[in-house]
Amino acid sequence: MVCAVILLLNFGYQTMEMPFCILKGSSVHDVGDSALHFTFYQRIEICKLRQGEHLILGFSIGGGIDQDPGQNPFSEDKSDKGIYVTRVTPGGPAEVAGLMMGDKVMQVNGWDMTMVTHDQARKRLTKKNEDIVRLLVTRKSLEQAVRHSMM
Amino acid sequence: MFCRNQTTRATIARGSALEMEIRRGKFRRSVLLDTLQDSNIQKKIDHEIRMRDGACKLLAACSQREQALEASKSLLTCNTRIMAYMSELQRMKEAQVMQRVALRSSDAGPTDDRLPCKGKVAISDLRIPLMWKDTEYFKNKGELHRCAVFCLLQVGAEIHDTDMVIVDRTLTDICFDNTIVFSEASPGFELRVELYSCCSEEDYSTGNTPRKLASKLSSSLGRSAGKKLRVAMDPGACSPISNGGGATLLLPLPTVVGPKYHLLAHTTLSLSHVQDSFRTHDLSISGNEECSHWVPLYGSVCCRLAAQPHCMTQQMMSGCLKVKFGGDPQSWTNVYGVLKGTNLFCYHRQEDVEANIQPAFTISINKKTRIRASEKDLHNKAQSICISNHYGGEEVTHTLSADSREDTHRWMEAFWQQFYDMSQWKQCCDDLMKIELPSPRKPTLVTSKQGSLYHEMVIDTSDDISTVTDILARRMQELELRSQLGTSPPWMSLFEDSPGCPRTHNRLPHSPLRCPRPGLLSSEASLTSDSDSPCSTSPCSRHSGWAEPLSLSSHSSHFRPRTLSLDAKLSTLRGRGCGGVLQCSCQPPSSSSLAPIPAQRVPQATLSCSNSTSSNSSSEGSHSPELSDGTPFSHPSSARQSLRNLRAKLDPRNWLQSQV
Repeated sequence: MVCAVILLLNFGYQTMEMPFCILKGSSVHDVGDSALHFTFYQRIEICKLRQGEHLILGFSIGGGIDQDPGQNPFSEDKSDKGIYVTRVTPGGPAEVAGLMMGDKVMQVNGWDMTMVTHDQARKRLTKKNEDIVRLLVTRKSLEQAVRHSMM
Repeated sequence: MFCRNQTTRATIARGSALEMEIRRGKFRRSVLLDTLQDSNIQKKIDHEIRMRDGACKLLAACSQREQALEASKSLLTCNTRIMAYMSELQRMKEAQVMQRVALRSSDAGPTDDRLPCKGKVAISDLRIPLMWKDTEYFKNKGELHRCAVFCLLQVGAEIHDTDMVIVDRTLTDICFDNTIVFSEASPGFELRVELYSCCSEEDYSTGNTPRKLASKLSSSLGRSAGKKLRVAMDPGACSPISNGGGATLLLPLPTVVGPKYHLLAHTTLSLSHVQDSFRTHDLSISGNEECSHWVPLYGSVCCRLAAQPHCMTQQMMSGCLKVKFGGDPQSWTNVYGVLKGTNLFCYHRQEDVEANIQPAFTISINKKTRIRASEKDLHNKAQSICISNHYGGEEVTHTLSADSREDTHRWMEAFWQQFYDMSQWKQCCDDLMKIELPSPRKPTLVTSKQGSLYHEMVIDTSDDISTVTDILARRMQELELRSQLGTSPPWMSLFEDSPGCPRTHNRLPHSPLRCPRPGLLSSEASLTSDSDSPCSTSPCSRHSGWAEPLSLSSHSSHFRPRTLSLDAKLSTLRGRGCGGVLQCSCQPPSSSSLAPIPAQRVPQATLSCSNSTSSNSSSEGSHSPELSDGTPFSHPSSARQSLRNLRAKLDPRNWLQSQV
């Protein structure tokens, strides 16, 4: 049973969409000792900025299936080989769009980013024929905030 | 006058009993004298026929292809020799007939024709270049089409064959190592070089040997003899060899089953081709691509053809002389003179010649020497001989005097003969050409595999795997750099000399070259799905390029086939994200050793750079590389920034981060 819960949390960003979460589980009633998984997603749309010949997004990524996940400072699970946002340039397009440091990028323009190499991820973000990238990210702080509010 | 080279003729006294018998026709006079030569040839023919029988038996009995090819080669050689001897025999018989006719008509003495001396002719280091179609060669498709080839060399009735060589696509030249020496060749010799080939793959079908041999034999002999031969010759017929009285020779003709050689190319060399060094001669090629025995010849043959006329190697004349220098009437010296080659050696005593002691002096006898016999001499009754030479700008004259008139005649004759020989042998008499006598060795049936140039381009086995992975790492980071920057920094031009190198790899079709490896399959799949970044495919193609030592691009010809441990090393490399020892390409291009990326410079470069890299990256640790410029939107277009990024990227201890 999957139901979508829209949280009315305001984080002060100028994003159009609010973060949402997908609840998966056997039943809503089994809280605590059942397999309830909360996954909080945020959709972020970044317009690339043209700087000379290059289109930049204004953030840095780390991680990938070819990287050592133990060195990821942002991941909770140290075996997580996903792509994480490691730095956001202040005032850059990513910051404007609401991306935060520590976000885990799940999708870019519909392409999955959870099982890619580092180089692959970079390339999917830096395609020259795309001016806008739509990221699907998740962040711990979101989760924590929701949990706190639910507890 | 005496003529050295003519066979002496026995004169038969008129009215003797012997002459009566001859007139009665009981036996021919020629039998007395020419039987020797006849029987010589006969013996040779008998010997060759025995050899031929043996070769036929061997051919029928052997099972291995190599043996069959060798036996077939011997068979062909024997057949050719038999035919040559028989035509020689016929020629001799015809000459005898002519002589008898001449003798009967006139009582002329021995003819006064001067004949040049014979000599040794040697041909060695035969090399025939091949011209394979490049498509056939580089694609290495399917079976290796192999042919067996050998050469037949013929001067007059003397025939020699070379060893057999198996030719396939990997050879660039056919090389025959044999040195073949013909002992008695006249200056007008014709050395016929024939190249025979046979396909060494197919089933051997019965050839037309008997019929061909029969027709050749019948045509080489006289008309009546040939008719007799043709009548008597039918497949399977066997007749004993008869002799005497002008009867013809009939040979047994067994049917041959086995590999058959065909004539592929031939050429004829003569005195004008003789030189003390290698020369290239044209080949006339018979046959075309359709034949099974075809080998693509370039059309020429290189060899060393040398000749040693006997006048250069043997003592032509020797005797006691008195020599006077210049015009001084008193200074006669007694010497023992030896005429050999282009010199008249004058020894103090005859014994010195055998003792190998240096001669007292040497008078050169060459093309420019002038010799004349002086008729009158004030002091001596005998004639004397004046030899004048030009040494430097001066004219030097020696006067020789022999003990008697006959001796003087003989010396003059010797000089005349020497001059004649030199005029006939031309360039062979300028200097003595070296001929190496082939050492007698057992012919081996197994022909050693001949190498080719292409097989020599392999990486040295002393190079260990790390250098090869370093090359990979260097390539990858070089291409990473390019993709990140877009514009190449000025120092990248050092690598521009091989710009085609990564690009050619990119254009390689992946399907034929893909080498599936479990560890890397996912990364390859992810790499190839990316279409807009061509550089990413190069590591994949680089992997594949190594699997085939003879790869399409000449740049990757340095790499040897990968080993298991190399596979493991490569997969760990990819897992670590192009980690590895950094090459000096990352350093500022001050050192000259950067310029073109040669595989062999890698070992030296590695050592110097690794230390600096490790120290650099250790300072950075796992921190993300900060942009030193401070400007918010600065794109990493500066060389230094990208350098630092690169270093961080390649250090396995770092967790890679990329700016987008």
